[in-house]
Amino acid sequence: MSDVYIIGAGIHPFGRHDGKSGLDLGVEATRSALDDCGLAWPDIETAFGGSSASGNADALMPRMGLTGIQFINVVNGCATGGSSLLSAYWAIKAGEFDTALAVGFDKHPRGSFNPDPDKYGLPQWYGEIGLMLTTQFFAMKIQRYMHDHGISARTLARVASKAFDNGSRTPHAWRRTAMDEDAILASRMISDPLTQYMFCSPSEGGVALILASEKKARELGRNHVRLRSGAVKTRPENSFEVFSPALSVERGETPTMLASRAAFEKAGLGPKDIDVAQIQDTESGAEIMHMAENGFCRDGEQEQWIAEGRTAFGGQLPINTDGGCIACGEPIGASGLRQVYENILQLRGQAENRQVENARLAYSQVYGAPGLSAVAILEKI
Amino acid sequence: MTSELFIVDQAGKAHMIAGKNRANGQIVFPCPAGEQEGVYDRIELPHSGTLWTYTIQRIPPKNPPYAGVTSPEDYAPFGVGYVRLGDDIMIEARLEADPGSLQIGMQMDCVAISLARADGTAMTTFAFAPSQRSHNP
Repeated sequence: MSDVYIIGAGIHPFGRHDGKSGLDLGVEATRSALDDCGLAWPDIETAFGGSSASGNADALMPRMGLTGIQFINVVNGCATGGSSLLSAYWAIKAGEFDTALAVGFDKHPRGSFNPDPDKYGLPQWYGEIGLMLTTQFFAMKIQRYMHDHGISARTLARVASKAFDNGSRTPHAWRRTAMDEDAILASRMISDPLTQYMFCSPSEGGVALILASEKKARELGRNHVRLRSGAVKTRPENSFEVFSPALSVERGETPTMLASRAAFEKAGLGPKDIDVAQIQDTESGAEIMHMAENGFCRDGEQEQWIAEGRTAFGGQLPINTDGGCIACGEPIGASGLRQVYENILQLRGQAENRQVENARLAYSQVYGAPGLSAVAILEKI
Repeated sequence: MTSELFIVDQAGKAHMIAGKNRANGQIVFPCPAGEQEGVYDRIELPHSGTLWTYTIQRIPPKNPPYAGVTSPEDYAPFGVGYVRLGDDIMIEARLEADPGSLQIGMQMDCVAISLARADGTAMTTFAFAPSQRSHNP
């Protein structure tokens, strides 16, 4: 088994890009990742990629070159990017390949996602009566969490305000204008307790990462960022997940708790070792709940953590340093890879005015419907 | 289809229909049909329960899959929540209530409602409304 390094990283900025297809964004990100590590397309031995709304990711092949390599299309909801990355990771770790591409791109229509009940094994009536909305799930989960653990609406606004501040420092972010807490609280209520600017929006973007075996990374002199561990987990019994017509009364663990624990165990690390983290912030409440589900604090401690700025720059654990989904938007296929891209910049010391000083261990967690989470831990060598 | 999700008893009270697993007693909703039919017994859930969590759908859902009225001038925000019925299950449903009156822990009753479709027809479905009891103690 080989250690696995991420040797190249490319991004097409997130946002709205009229005149470009989703595939165009994926091609640009892939070229940029190849340029970053000095490889050419024929050097890539295998590829994993995903897109939710822009066709099959392997449509990249005719654009990049028909080199005959295995290209596996990945479909795993909002966790597609994380799943692509880990598939590439395992392929190299197993010793089967020396280089692999993990790529994701997407271009969504404006407005909220519009899922079809059939695709989730749900009856049509569930959508007809108005329950087929991811926004409702996130709102109901944080509503109960606020009730149980004393989290205030002000804290929801602080998380969004931090996201826009971080986004204003990030060239690849979409929403780059800072916004204060009061404006966020006063914006249109979408799904109580969450207002318009507490939610991320579907957007457009592409990310490509090139992974290599230790041997190859050393050969190229690019053995600087190691993928130390990763895990993807799906929902266990008694987890409160999106699109659930009913729930058991007992509340159990979540897929994020399982994935986080597995990734930490494999790495021989704990939450206190992490220097910078990118965690799923579909909306402000998700970031707050995921802080605890990933083990960074206990339930309820977020109120104080966030008031004290512990997750902002200069705090003990800066979270979503590029503005996360709230500032970057969410192109499904690319979103989880964006988190890893940001962590790579942080570990290489290339994050400019959002650089976390002396970052050595970086954590990412992406969550998707119908209830899965992917975690990756990167280490600076 | 929708009529299999709940029944209205002789006293006019609505009850959700769930499935109880014959092997392990697990209660699930909707009651599985078809391939899994022999595995579950059809049971009626209690008429009343407590609100576990909720939100308010302030903006019109996309149509489809939503069948209700979505035009901005006619759209009315509606509550959505999970109501705990007995010791085993919580059901997700529309809430027939003044959105401002919703509170975690409040008593809710199962009711049958008529939902106006955007195409001018109506569908009968289930919802939960604040308990009469809690309004008139």
